[in-house]
Amino acid sequence: MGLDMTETVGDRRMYLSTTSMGTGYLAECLLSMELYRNTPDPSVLRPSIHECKRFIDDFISTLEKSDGAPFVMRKIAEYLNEQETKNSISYWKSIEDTIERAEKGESIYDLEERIRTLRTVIDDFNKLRQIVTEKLYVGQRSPVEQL
Amino acid sequence: MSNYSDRGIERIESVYRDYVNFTEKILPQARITGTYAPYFGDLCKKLEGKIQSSILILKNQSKEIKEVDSLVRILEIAKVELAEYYHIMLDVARGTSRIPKNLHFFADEMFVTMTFDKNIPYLIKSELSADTPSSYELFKDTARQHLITFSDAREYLNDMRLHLICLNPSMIDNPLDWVLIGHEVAHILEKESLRIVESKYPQIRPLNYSTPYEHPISTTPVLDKKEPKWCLEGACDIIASIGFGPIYGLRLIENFLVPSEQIFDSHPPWKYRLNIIASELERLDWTDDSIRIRDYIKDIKLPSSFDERFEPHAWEDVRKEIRSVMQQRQMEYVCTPARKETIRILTKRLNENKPCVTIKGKPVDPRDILNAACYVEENLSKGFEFREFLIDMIRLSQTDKIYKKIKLQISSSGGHPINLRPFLESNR
Repeated sequence: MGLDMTETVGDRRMYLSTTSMGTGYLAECLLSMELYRNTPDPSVLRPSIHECKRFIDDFISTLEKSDGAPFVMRKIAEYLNEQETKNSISYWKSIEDTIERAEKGESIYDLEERIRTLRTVIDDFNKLRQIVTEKLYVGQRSPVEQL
Repeated sequence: MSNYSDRGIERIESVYRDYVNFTEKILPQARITGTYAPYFGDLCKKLEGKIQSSILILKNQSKEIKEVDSLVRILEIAKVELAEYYHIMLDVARGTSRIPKNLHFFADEMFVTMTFDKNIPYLIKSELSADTPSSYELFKDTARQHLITFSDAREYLNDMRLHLICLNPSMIDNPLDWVLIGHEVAHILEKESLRIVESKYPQIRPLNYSTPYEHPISTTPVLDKKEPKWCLEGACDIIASIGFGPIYGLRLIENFLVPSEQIFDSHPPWKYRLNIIASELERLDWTDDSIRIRDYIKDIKLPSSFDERFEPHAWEDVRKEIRSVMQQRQMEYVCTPARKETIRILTKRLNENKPCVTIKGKPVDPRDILNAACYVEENLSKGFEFREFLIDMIRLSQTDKIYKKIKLQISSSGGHPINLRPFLESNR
């Protein structure tokens, strides 16, 4: 991953917490979708679902190269593209659409397929998180563990 | 399936048990310095219960998941989240221990002067891998984002803040480099209170999805993604230069300037930044130092594709607003004939290792001592003894300044006893 040489620990910490946040929201979505698969009722969705939707919405606008997108999201979207992942906008829009339909209590006939897509996106984000983690902790792990 | 669920939860609980051991046994032993040191321990401790109840919720809901491919991902992500959060807290506990007390003074004073009564909790952290100083918010912007699947902890962290200023240990040891903290304090002030750059470039906003986005949509045109970030860095350089004078730019030169630079998204090149700093010093009448800085950077090479006249679209407005705020708060470190004379006297005294706390009975501003130290003979200024002496002089000068504040407070309260705690805490 092409991290800048001038990036500070604070910048890298921000990339890591943002990729971690992305993975966390996607995991929350997955949990909500699995609960919804058992009981197709909006009340079973986790309370975090609104936050997940806002995050996904922001990420879609970043992938669409919006000028107003947050700097850190643009960097992460770039890194994901470098990884040649399957993180196309259509995948993200499918997740967003699934959430919206579940919130309305609609029946989603291809929910299983959508959950599979969600898992693919999670794996890509998780991979990215591991890469950023390694970059952040180069030369830092051992002294920390001496505490 | 329940087997997978039980094993996944057991792994999360094992990280949790280790974390509890950290808050109960390791953290109380850490000698964290700074006014907000107890705040860090309290938050870590309070999160214990929140994490525990979140695990319980996860435990109950994971039993309902029938698809193993989903279950293992959810629980593995939760485990990594908790382990990463725990690792960050360990790292912070280690890095914030044994920071010199008077290193906090400059940051404390900047926060108080620029925000008046608003409390901005922060700690200074020694960061081995940080070549350049940096800062980040530990709870809302970091811990919360690592604990998304821990619902109770996530909710609790919504309103918690503790900023960290990270400095390399070599900078912590060298009092001349303490002024670099000015740039990081400026980042925190911009985020917490000023919001001058953010109002022009919302692209630099911290990510927060717990509430709908309330900031205005950007109306400033942007050349590319680096423009908002570069504007922010330039703004923080200006704040540090106005607040600390020539020493800020001179320490950047000493620590970071290289003969040839590349262009990156996150920070402008040093040559570009020092040019901004030189302009600001010129405005504050530090003409000789401005020329000195320009002389250092004139031969630095930048890629030919980079237009050195580049300026963020909102730059003029941002600079104007910063100057106005700094002037209102009386934070401008201007070169006056009296200050020039003070620095000349202090330089002489520092060269001779003589006390620098008062001149003709008047207390000396610690910033004057630091700026005078820039002119001390090079052989002397790099020595360990000189640094120790300088640290002592800064401490004495800071103590004197605080003592004067207390006296003023007593006389304005008609000689009645006053609560000394705020004064003492600001110098802890």
